[in-house]
Amino acid sequence: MTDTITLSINEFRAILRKAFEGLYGHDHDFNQLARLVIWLECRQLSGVKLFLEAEADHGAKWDLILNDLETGEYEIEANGLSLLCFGDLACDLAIGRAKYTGFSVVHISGAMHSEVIAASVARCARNGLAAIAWWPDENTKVANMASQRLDQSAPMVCRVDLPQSYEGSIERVTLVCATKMSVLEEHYADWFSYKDENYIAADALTSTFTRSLDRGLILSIKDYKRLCYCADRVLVESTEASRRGAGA
Amino acid sequence: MSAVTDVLACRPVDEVMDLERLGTLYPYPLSFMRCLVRRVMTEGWSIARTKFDIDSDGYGDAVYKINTGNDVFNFAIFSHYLNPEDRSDRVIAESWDMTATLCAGELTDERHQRLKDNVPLQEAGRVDCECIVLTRANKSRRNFNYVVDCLVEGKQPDVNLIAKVGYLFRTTAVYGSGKFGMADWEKVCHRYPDFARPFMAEMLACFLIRQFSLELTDWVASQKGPDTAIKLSDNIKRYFGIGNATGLGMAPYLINHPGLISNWINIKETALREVVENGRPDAEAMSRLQSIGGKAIQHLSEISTDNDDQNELNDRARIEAKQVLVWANNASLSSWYELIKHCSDHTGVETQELINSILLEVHKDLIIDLEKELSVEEVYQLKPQKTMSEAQSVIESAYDWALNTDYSNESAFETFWYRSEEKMEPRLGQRSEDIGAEKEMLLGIAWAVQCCYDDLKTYTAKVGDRSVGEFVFHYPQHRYILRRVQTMADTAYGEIRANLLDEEVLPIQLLRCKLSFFGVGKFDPKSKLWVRNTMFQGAPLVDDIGRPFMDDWFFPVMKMSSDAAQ
Repeated sequence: MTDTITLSINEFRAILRKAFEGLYGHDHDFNQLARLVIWLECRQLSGVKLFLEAEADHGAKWDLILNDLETGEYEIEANGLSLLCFGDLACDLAIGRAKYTGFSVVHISGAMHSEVIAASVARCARNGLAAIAWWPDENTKVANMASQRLDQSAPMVCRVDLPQSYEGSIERVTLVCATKMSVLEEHYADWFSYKDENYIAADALTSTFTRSLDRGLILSIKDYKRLCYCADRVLVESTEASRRGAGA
Repeated sequence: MSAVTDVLACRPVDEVMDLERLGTLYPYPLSFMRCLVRRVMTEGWSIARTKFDIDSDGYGDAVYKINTGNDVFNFAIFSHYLNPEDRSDRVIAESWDMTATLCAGELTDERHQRLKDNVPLQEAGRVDCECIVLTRANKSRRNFNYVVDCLVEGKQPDVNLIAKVGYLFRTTAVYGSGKFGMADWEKVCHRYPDFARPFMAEMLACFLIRQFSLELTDWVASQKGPDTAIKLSDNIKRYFGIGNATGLGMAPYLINHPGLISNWINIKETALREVVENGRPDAEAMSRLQSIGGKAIQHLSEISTDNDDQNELNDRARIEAKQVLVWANNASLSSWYELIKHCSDHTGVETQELINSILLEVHKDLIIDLEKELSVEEVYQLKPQKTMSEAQSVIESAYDWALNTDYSNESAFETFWYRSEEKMEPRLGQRSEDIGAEKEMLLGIAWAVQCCYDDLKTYTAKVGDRSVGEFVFHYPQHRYILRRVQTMADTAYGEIRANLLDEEVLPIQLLRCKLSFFGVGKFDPKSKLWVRNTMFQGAPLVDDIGRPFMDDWFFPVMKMSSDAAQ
């Protein structure tokens, strides 16, 4: 018996929507949260793994603090919350300001799952903004970076040597977007001097998505069952009285 | 004021999107069944039965191979014995008279066996990513047995008797869009151009079930009376459609896909404008109006339902349509606007929509090209750069109907929609009595808009006019509805204007709206929660492919069938 299951993207989306709805009720945009996980999973960036970890950590308090700094940058203190849960909210801030001023920066401290920010880079690009984000790596001498120009269909993701200006380590996630890529390249030249190794090219991310669409997504039965378990939280017990509400 | 401006004025958004009116829509030339049949007939698709391994009782496997010219598909059918006690239209049923899948790719013996192991299980099975539609159907035992008995006795069935039901099999679910491992819609619409419009593959599956039901009937009769049985006449075959039972599951779809629904409505209204602007009520068109109108009236008179409300609606529409046709005959019309205006002033909503559909039939050549516009990519984007005051203004202008919904009365908030643990069946609950309200589905759009609007005002008063991005950061519970509001405010017709939480909500109106776009007729409501109806009644048969096609099979009536049978 196989220990994997192949899901269509739409099927995966439906389960995730319910899973997020089961988790948060209507307190969050469960459709968008599902999209975020799909984006990651379809590009082999561990969407399901991150969701299940975030779900296990569901007890984490929703205690986000937003500061609008005098520099015009936003700063979010996540207090341990997974970026999966609020990455889109951070991205909303970035897009909202960049659309107005042509440029925006959002710093995020204390978040689990920093790598989720790669999806925000892609979302900025879909909204007509060039974007770059960087986040810490286990190896403190390097950082992770994702960037996307407007003519790319997906971000390029890679590891880069930590720019000297960071003096040895970075602790927070930064998302920057602008109406022009040249502005980013000018301001953040250090980050664009990445090595051509250990990186995922934009084309590779696009092709993994296309493959997922064509052949479906393969999940382990174990993960699938856990997702279904989360999704089933939206279901209501069936009673004789409730059957009347089905028209029977 | 020009006629075009007049008709625009007489079809304002709040009128068009009113749920009561949407619940009276009739099929029209761009309904999906019509589009499919036009395509099959005009492009000359080849549909061949390549397997018919069915026993004398009608159980076994069958396969139809469909060559559209662009691609080849297979429709694999599994016909089973079903204990009569287990025959149910409900989602929670677990066995059916027949199950089937429409799939792309080669149907090898190995794959067929895999499908045979899974398709009969329906929701409990898994199919492969080249499958496009998964469906099932139950027999109308009354009709099936009656027709078989007649054929065995060497006579054609009485059309008057079969008209009461109008089908031999009734579908109870037609799944697509990636369910149970099938191909995603995005894949289907890019890979298979024949199915790149809404529900084309699903409609083809229903058309093929109808074909199978007719061939199965002939087959079973021939096995029961090898020396006496005759075949069902082609005209009676055409009069048989495929039944359908639609329940609450379809209602959330309409609310969750406002962009798609708005587009369908926009196309129908555009078609109506096109007819008013460029269609002339000359002698030829008037003759078509009278002919199609007469057929529509007869069609209405032949609908058999136990539902008193529906009978009343049908009777009124029939009587009023007759009066309208008499009036039109004597009115020397200079534009179709005069007809629409007359209906608006003198008839009920049901008749107005019936006449609109008839008019669209009269001038279908003017509107056929709109068929290409039926698909729309649904993207609901937040505009975080907008200010909170701008968001409030959008709500005030595009969602005034939502703000005007009075929730001070508890009855306006009494209904909730939820998914039951029984096969996730959608159900309605009463908030004051039933359990589960804390898990309700987000279908109360008016309520959500009001809550969002109140918080926008409160937060603006507190912090000043900041961006929507900042607002949703602090009020993430409103992100979904704001995304929806900001997107739908840019569409021509926006949302269905209804409070789905009201105690008196009639889900059946939502069902009929969607079914009309499918092309479904003969609505037979079984309660306010589900409806039986008939698809493809009057449509050509597979054997008709290649013969002259008039695209005139709408408003099917029994007279031509009974005449031809004699």
